[in-house]
Amino acid sequence: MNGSGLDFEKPILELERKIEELKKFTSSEKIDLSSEIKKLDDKLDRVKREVFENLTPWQRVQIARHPKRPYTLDYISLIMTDFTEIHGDRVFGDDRALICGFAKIEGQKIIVMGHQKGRDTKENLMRNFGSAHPEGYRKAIRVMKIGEKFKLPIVVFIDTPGAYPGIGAEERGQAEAIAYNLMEMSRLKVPIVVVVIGEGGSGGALGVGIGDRICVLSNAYYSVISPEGCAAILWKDRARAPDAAKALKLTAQELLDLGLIDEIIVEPLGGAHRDPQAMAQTIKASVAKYLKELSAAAPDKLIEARYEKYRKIGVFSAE
Amino acid sequence: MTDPKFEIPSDPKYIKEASAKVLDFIKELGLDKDTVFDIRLCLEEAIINAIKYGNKCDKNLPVNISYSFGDNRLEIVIRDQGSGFDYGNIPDPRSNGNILKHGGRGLFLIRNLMDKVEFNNSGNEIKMVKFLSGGKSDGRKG
Repeated sequence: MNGSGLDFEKPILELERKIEELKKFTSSEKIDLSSEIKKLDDKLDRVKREVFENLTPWQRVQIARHPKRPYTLDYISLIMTDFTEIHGDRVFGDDRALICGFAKIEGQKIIVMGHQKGRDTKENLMRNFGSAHPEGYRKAIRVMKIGEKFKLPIVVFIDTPGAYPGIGAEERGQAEAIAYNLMEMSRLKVPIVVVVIGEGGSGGALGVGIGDRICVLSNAYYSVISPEGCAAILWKDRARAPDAAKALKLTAQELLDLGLIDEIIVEPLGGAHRDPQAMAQTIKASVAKYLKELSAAAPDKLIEARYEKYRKIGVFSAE
Repeated sequence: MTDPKFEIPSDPKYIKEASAKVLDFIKELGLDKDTVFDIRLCLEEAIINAIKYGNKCDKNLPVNISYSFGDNRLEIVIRDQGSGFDYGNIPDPRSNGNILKHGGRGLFLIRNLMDKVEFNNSGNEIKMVKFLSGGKSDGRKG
């Protein structure tokens, strides 16, 4: 990637720059260049489709990590109201990589949570690049249980390269915290809608990712390991990440084909970062649809359906 | 009174129905949700084994299921029509060569989550026992 975008976005960014220049020239010099602009607009449209409708899994991973991609707090501010953040796990501290709180969506009170990355180095250090510690997962389940107590449905945004594997995180029981969440989330008596908005990094994603409906944005990914990590283990060469991305079957379409997720939420052409407002509205529509659908179910039916959903994952083979 | 029993064809689509029937019985015992989860998991794994390995997915062959509760002891028996297997010689799913395999963990889970697991001599019937409150053990075997 260069400073202005991903490598494969370059022809698009170049055309957009030219169109912008022509438009400025038209207004400043009072010369009619509308036919040239129209031609370039058509070309831009064609190039965009060529590039973005044939993305490789690795290119999608790059879009999922795009520095301008909307994060959890962006979506909360775009589609929800009355957000009140809840801090701390009542055990160790507050994890800024995983935020939780109360909010309203279309007037309905909910619990919302999600991984949060930073926009610059300073914020990324504070947010630990979206990699949560055990206290993040413990805060998350604490807040989910508040939701259960007050019968509030839960909306989760997933966007993490993975749970943080540092010494402190391991000392404080990272694996236990995630495992505990899997068990507890599987039997929470309120609806849980999960949306993978960027990176769905393995246990870091799963630790808040058990739900009744799992949606993945069309350029987001969900995987047991990052492509670089996989390539380093399998081939001792991180540069083979594109091969790993293909082999891991981590794209939204592949996950849907494998029966692991419920819906692909289609991003604007070029990715969510090109039109965050439109992306947010599409997410809102899906989340609202599922909340309405799930809120009608009795708690025991909801839990039974969730159990069945996860038991069905995988293939029954008679070999 | 005889123990409740029923049979299902060797088709995975009947597992849910079979499991629901036994769970209805278990519900009456007022167990905690962790114990119910463990029993359900073991029951479903045992039925899958009977369908897949015992009856080789032959839908004409039944899987027999019976269950009973007495003296704080819940007993579930699953029987298939196969020729049985050497239950003393099951590969350990935790060993290096098996860790990435898709299957082979059912019996391991059953042995760890139930308190007592027995097979008949021919190896086509598994008896799973859970000791409930006041029983011999409500812990788990390692």
